[in-house]
Amino acid sequence: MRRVIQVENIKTFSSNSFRVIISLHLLFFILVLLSLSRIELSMGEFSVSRLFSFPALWEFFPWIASWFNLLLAVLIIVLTCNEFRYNTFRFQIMNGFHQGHLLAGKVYIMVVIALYALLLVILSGLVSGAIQQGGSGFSIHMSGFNHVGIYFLQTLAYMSLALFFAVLLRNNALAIVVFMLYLFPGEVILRKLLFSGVEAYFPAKLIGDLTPLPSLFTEQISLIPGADVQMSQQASNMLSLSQGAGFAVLYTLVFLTATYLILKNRSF
Amino acid sequence: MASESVLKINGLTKHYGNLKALDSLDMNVEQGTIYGLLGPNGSGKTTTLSIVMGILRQSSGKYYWFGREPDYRSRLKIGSLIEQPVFYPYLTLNDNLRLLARIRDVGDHDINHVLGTSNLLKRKYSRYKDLSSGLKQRLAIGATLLGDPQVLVLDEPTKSLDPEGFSDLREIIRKESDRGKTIVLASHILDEVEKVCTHVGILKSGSLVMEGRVKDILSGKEVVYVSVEDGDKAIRALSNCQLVEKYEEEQSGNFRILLKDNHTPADLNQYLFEKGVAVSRLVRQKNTLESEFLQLMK
Repeated sequence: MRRVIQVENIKTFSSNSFRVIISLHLLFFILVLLSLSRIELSMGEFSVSRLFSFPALWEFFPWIASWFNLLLAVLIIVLTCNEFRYNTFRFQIMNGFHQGHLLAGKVYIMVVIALYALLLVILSGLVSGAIQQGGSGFSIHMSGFNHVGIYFLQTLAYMSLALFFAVLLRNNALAIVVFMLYLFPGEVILRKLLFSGVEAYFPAKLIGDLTPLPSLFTEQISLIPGADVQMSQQASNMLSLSQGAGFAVLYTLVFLTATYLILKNRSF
Repeated sequence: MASESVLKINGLTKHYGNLKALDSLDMNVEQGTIYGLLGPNGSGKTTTLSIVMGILRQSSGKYYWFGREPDYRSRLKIGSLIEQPVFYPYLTLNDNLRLLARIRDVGDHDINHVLGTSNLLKRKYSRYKDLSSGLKQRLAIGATLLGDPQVLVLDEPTKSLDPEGFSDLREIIRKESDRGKTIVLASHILDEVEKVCTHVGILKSGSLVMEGRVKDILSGKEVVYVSVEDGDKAIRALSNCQLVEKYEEEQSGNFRILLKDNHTPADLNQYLFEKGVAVSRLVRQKNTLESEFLQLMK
């Protein structure tokens, strides 16, 4: 594993694709947080500023960060498909790696990226919480922090699905298009047309539901006449967080196993 | 005493759809030899080397490295260049070689030696993508030496090399062979193979049509081109001739004759004269790997 980590460190952190996409992720996440924090909106007990305060931010920030998981998944597709494009998976096999090493390298990078995203959410949360507390003294509220851990799991699950498409299709543009088509119209159509009743168990929905709309929002929306019925319908199509997390781990393992089997049976 | 087998191939077959690229190939490379794998384009050289280096799956058949079923650990003992140089284009030469050293699980101490061997020490911090194709090939050849592997597998290593590169490659092969390394060299530059290889295997349509020591293939045999007036009479005479290993009528009345060991063109001339065959032209030619190869390919 030491060899795998060293190899991945050398090739990934020098890659322009990695630097550019991570920079874009960082930039967009901060810009979105900054622009949302400037919205002055209040409805009854709800105000936008509460979303940027402890403890609500531990639910709100992972939800915002989950919008950008697509970018991280695209990064995994680009890093993996470039290995096929440059024939460097072949280079690694010829020189003494086996297919398990190739997968382990990509899983390591996925964990590094997910840790970066996790750290970004935690640091931005701490900064925002401190700013919102103003001069009243700084104390960290950890209630709801489990959403941050689940966000980490969600990031890994999205990236493992992306890795599967990358290894299956081997072409950057094709893998990105197919991955996006699966996430948006593809799985939605399957859920609605073919397998109604088990919607909550489909991978993209299940992984997406791990970071639901913050409860501060949903509580306010449910007060709007008619919206409460729709909200309860949506809630009935979702698994509990712990169930969802369990299935997300399962799906991650399934995607990684499928990826390994493709690598193992493929010529380079 | 028989030498230890480094690479043994048994009944290796590879299909690409309906095309049979390898057809029950058997091959044996002994330790310390320089084995030249010859064959025209599409004969299966690269397919064979790709399979034994683990990057292509065979349809059937087996191969053994160092007398064992192959796994990734056996590839750690082999430096290889298959088809074309492969490195990360955006990394410097130094980083590419550091990465290769990690894969091979060896230290960085060989990097300068590899760059020196490739005449690329001054380009150590250049990006790989900025090298010319000839320099990329030099780097790839040098990189096969990283970590001092026991075996070198080189597929068309002279591709893109200039004359100086050719000469340097020959020097590297000789030097590494003198150090006891086994080298498998696929090429269709027959002159190069004849100069450096100790053993040769000739592939045709995915099968090995000849295998042996270069010395044995070429030793003591002479090729004679003979023109006669009566071709039929000559054929009758040559069919029963003890001096001749094989003959072929290239055009009417024009023969290419391979003499058995230690027989001379003069002996053949005498024999044909005794059989009443009037010889109008007799030209002797040293038997080369090229002439053997071209005969086999007919």
